Amino acid sequence: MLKEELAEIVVIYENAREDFKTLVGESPENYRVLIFLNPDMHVSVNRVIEVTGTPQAILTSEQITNLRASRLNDFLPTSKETVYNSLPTLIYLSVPSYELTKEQEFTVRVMLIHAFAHALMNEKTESNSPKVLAQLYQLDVILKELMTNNVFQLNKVSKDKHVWAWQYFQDLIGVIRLFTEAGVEDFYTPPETARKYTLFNNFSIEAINLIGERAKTARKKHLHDIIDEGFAHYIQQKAIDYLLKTDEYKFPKRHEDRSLIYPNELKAFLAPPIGVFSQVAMNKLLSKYKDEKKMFEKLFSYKSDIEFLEEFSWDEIKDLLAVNKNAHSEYVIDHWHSVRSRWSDIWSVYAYGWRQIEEYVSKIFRKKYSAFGQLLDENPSISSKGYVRVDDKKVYVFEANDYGVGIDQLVILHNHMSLYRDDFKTILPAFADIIVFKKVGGIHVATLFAVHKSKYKSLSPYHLPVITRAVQVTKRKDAYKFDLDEEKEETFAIRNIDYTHLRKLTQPQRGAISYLIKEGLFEL
Amino acid sequence: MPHRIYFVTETEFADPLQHYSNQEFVLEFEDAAQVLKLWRNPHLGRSSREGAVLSIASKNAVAVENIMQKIMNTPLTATEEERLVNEMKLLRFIGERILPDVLERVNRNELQTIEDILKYIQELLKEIKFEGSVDLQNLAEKLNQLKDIVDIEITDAFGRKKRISRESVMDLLGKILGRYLVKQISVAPLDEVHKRPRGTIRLKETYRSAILSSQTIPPTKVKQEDIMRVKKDRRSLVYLIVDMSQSMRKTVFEGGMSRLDGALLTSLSLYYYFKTLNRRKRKRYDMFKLAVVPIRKNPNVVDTDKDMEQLLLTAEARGKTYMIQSVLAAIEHAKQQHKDKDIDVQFTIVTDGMPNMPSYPFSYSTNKELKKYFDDIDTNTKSDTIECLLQLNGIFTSLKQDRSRNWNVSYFLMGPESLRNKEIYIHTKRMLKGITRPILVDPAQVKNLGEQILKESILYA
Repeated sequence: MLKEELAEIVVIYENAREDFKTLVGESPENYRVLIFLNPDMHVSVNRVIEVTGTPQAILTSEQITNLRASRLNDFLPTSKETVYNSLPTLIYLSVPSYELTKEQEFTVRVMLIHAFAHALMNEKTESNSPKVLAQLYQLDVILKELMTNNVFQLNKVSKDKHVWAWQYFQDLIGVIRLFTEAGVEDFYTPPETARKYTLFNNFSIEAINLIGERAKTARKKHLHDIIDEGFAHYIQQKAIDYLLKTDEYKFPKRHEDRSLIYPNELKAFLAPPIGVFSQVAMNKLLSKYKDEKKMFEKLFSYKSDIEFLEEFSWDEIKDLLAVNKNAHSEYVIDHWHSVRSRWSDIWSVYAYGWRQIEEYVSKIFRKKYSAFGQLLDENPSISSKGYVRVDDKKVYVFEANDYGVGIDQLVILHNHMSLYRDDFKTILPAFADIIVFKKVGGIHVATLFAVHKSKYKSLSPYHLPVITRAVQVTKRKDAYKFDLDEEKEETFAIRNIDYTHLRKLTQPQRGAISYLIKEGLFEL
Repeated sequence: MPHRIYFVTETEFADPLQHYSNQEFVLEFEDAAQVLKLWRNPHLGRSSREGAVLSIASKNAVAVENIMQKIMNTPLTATEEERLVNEMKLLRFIGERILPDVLERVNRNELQTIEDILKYIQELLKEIKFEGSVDLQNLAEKLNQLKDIVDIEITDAFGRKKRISRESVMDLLGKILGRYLVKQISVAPLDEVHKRPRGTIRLKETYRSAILSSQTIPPTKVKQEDIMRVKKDRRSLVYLIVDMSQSMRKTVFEGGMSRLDGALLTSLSLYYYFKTLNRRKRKRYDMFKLAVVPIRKNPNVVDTDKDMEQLLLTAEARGKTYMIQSVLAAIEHAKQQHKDKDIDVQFTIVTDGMPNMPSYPFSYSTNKELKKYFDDIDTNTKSDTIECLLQLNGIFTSLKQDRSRNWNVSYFLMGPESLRNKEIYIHTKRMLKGITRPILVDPAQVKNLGEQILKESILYA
């Protein structure tokens, strides 16, 4: 039954392949298309790629909760096909409605051609990007399997049900992935000999090794996004022109400037800044080499974006960015948004997209970055800032950036560290108490996680007497001068605190640390 | 390349945004004590309030990020677009202007109750009225999410976190603890009784009757007349008389909760135990009714949700042990309920000492033999306490003789095993002679108190 319902799409698919062959001269052979009947699933996969980089990566529970909250409020972007640029190329689509109108048919055809362009690029390119992405995909699948099996096994062998295990392993992998990618060297791996004691040890050793391998692989990946997108958008534009010439599809024209009104669903391909910029860059390359075949050869031969950008001078690129950003600001609101919306409201969103491109382009052009690892080092998701010594214990200080760890992950990290103590019977030492700086929305917060000794045996790693305190990091003079209880000040006097092992911190950050240590470590 | 079509099901390709954990919330007794503590004292739990601010902030940040993507990538109708733009502006405004301020106030311990939050929101709205660009109506609604801050965060045995509003704390704790008790002990042992909508079947009796009528073991068949239907259930009034004197302030060995916390939670769990039980039965009236009588200077009988909540919030362990007064209050209350004879009244007393405030005037007759016993022995026990014991004995004896109702007394003494050799236990035992025997409860095992009370007093008394 499903086969009949999808017959129409199969026809469009074959047409799209034909179109592609006529336009480019050859067609990709190594790709998979996954069509979701449930559009929610497609949105989920799309978000997972956006957040973690690969479709099979494990999200932390906080990321899941937040994304689910966004989904409930209908905040998640829909209707974009999702392409994972590995080899084989993975193409994810939501199934269009049952009977396709001419407009929808056109959209699906263009979407497929766009995806084929990605697939062809992945097959032909000399960059390592598709191969690395394929490896990452595989590693993530293995990690997922490993986690699933271990949660299953842990629940099977133990008497008490460890319902927390799933979430814990999820968060654990999320955090270790982040730390390993950022190369935080304070990270601890249990010795090989610990393997035989518990399932948990065995799992963590396996997971940590795999994640280490994943991080090493990911760092080697060439930066290739502009070439990927540029090639796909270039072909897509050719396809649109070609399809419209055949008279098979007719679209109404706008009253004012006689421009075509494209189907709404093509917005994801025609509106966002990355498509606009990469496409004009392609056109510029074409005008340099004159011949399309030669340009394609060139594109396939580039290993990373920097080689492509270096075809032009910095002034040319700056011009390209400025001129097109300007033109885009006039064009995009009229063509893709309602007349009722204010220009400034909408443009701020696109401007944000442009700013990201500008930053990326100028950074790799200036510093000649070619691999993902170099970009990571420049702005690590998490970095170590040394430690504070309070009596005989160390409180480690980290700074996480916007896309780094979430609050929940910090707790896990923290709990993980508390396993070091005799409270919880899995030997997996990691960190001591920690303070983390992180920007959450508009607040720059410092958060302290410290564990007290518990009298009775913990039921789960989430089940420890944790002190969690948070304070805003600000430059204001009177900040951190809250009334401390007399009692607390007394205890404080006895403590011996050593701040000398901290590095690269601002004055407000230091203020926040001392506040947290004074207030937080003595709350219980 | 040959083109193939495969069908993949959702089991093979699961939704990555799925929550896997078991949804049932399991709260341990110690955790409940922690929640009770947080509930009673809004000064505590600052860190959980800070956590709440951060989680609102990070949720908002993710939402903003996604809305931007949605505006760029998804075809939208004019109304949709308007909604998204508004949401985005509000979320940004909250994230950049309001939450930092809120966090600071939470740090300063200025936002503790729901009233604080409401007052803060009103002030805020007054202040930003002139800023123009935000939609005030919507903002006010959005700001209501700040109320989450004063909710109490509870973590269950499996580490799942949940925030509950202050108003629903009692209901939630009661339901969890009550249901837990129901799972431990059902009113009647399951192997003997089947509850059916049309009546109760006692299996053992049915079986025996079937054996008798068929004259074989096992019986060849069960006839209709073999099935025994139970006569009407008797009504029971249960009075849980709980000590709230100073000594209850002592900390219980495990988990940092006090004896009082344990006693209160036990009361709550029993209260909800009978509440759930009554709800399950199809009866014209409630079979059991539980009331809690605190042992304090002016004891009142707590038998409604509102009173119960008040008791939980305000109960303090202080002063002397006004047990006589509480028992008298309970008797008075019981006598006013249901004038018909066919009724059980169960007094369950939980204490960790001896009564020490006699009541005057005292109209019951005291036991001469007991008086002689106390006169004869050489003891450190104060005369007031002895007077109390005599009075209590008098009250209980007269209750036992009273035929207007079926009175039952059980007496739980909180203390370690070593108490058996101490005067407190010996005196109490002597005082209860002919009425009941005292049951010693280890305070460290206070979490099993509810179960013990059910087993040893109410159900099998």
